Amino acid sequence: MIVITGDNIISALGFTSEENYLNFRRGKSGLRFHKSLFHLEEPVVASAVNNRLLNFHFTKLAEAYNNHKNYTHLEKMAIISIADALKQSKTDMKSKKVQLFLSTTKGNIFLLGSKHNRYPSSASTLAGTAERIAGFFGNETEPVVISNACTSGICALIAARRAVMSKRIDTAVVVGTDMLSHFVTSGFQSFKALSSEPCKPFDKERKGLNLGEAAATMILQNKRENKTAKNSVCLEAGAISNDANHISGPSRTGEGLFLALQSCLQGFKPEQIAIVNAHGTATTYNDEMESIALTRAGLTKVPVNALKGYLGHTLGAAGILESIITMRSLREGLLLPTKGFNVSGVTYPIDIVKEPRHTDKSYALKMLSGFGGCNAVMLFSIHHDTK
Amino acid sequence: MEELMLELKNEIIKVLNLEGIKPEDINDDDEMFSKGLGLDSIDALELIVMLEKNYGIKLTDPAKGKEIFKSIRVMAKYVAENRKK
Amino acid sequence: MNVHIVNSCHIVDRKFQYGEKILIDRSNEQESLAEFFSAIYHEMKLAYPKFFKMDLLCKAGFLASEALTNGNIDKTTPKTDMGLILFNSVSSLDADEKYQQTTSGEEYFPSPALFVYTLPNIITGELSIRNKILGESMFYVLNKYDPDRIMEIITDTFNDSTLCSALCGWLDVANEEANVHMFLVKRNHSPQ
Repeated sequence: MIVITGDNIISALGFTSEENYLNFRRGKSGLRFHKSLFHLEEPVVASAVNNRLLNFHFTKLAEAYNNHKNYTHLEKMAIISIADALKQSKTDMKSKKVQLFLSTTKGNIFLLGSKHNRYPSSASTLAGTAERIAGFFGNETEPVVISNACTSGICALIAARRAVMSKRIDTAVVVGTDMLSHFVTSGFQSFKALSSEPCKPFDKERKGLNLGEAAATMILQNKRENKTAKNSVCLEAGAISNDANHISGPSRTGEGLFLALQSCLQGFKPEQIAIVNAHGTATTYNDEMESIALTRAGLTKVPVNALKGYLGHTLGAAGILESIITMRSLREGLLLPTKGFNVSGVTYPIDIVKEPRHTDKSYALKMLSGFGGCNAVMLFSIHHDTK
Repeated sequence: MEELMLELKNEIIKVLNLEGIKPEDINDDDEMFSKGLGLDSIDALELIVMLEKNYGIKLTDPAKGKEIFKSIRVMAKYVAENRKK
Repeated sequence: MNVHIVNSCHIVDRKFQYGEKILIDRSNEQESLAEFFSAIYHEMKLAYPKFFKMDLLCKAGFLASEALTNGNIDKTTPKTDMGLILFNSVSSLDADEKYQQTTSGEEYFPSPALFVYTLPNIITGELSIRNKILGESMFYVLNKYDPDRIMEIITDTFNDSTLCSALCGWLDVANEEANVHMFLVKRNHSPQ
């Protein structure tokens, strides 16, 4: 079984998975109103990692690793995240059988066209950034970058799971990250996709998404079923499918997402699923499309939630971050509310979790959809007892 | 109005990369979105940018765009009434 | 390996090559990369107006995939068993630079039509739409063109999916240069 042996989240809600999860459980939001983020005229709501705290943590880490190079904000988030995940997992980063998988949409995009040379040119490419992150830990295995728009996080987990199953490597360190930038914010504004209020996933009054920055890590290893720790989370299955419809708008029939759901559910029944954690960006079309796909896949009676009301859309980090939170909630038999949701504004009657709920089921589906017509789904399971 | 409609046709062809299409191919009253030119949601957003850039008209609600871009004639009327440049 | 290569198409040094045959050689023309791609489009007698809205990365992939799929696949039938597995080292650099120009000059007019192409996987979207490919679509960024690593990832994909075929390849398009190697792969079927 491919299991998670270490994980971490760096976000506006904390510097560990535990700290983040407790804040999610308390209903705290990391979203803030920014009147002129990056000097942009239109105000935005977004979540940002506390820079002072980030540098405080990073300085300590750099001392411990005796590394005095300059790293970008994004790289620091990723490095601190991996370092914390490594504490939980017995992983020798210097081993050739350990490989980094980086999920990111734009990496260090703030460097594009910039004139200062604080960082080497390798920081300007996604593969170079991945090498710099792996290199901090002395890992020299060529990393893999997955850049599949908003679905990158789950796609990276799928790619990493395959690599571990192939036995070419025994450990995959999967980190997803994106930072807030003028480039991305202005772009989403040009799409009129942003809301100037905290987002409302699946809600009648939803007006668009909020952006967020974060890093999230999962360390994957192959463990025999009788050798997994208590509350181990297993990556059971993953699937990716394309709508073949439009390069930025979701399919009106939820084609790609439906196919990916169907594929992941092979050999499983909807009744076994505790929760579907949706993409839930709070745009008109995405949330509607997800309700259609869920209905077509026979998941109408399965509780659905969306977590972007707590931190916004963290792009490359989203799939990993939201999966960690979902599985932590399953550890205590809990389903977290969809922050920002009040009254359903989607056509199909899906069961959207509004208040905390109890569950005794062990499977969760994570869904993501993104530009390029891509849809990705992963089925996770939690094993409460050791054998 | 004729001059403005021709100007709009040329701008649309340029801004939306409508290769091989000439102004005379675009009818003044044809629907631009569902049929005719078959424009899509990204084209609509790009036309919103064009309205601001060329005519100083700021549209905050993309849904309004669908009404304004119904046809060249409807678009020209809107521009003539609201232009700031 | 669980797949075999059916055919290949390369765009290097302003030459368009299908298999071993150079179909179009414009290495002596003084033209931009965009003009080069338009010339190939017209020589191939393609009729797909959306081509002219695409960024250079998508145009390159589109032209190569047309050569690979002509007469080979039915573009009208949705195919859930066909995928797209693409790679490069520069991501969407060319589109990134062009988009940024619309936000950094004296006048601020961010272009949504340019922004949409600032994700490298958009090309999988374009090819998916053109050929009705509904299987797995992925975009990987590696540090350099390495056919062995690419094949490993393709093999992993076929081991963990029900794909029967996929359009795969390497597409580096930046600084007015294209380095494209695309190929169609099919799953090996074990002899009965």
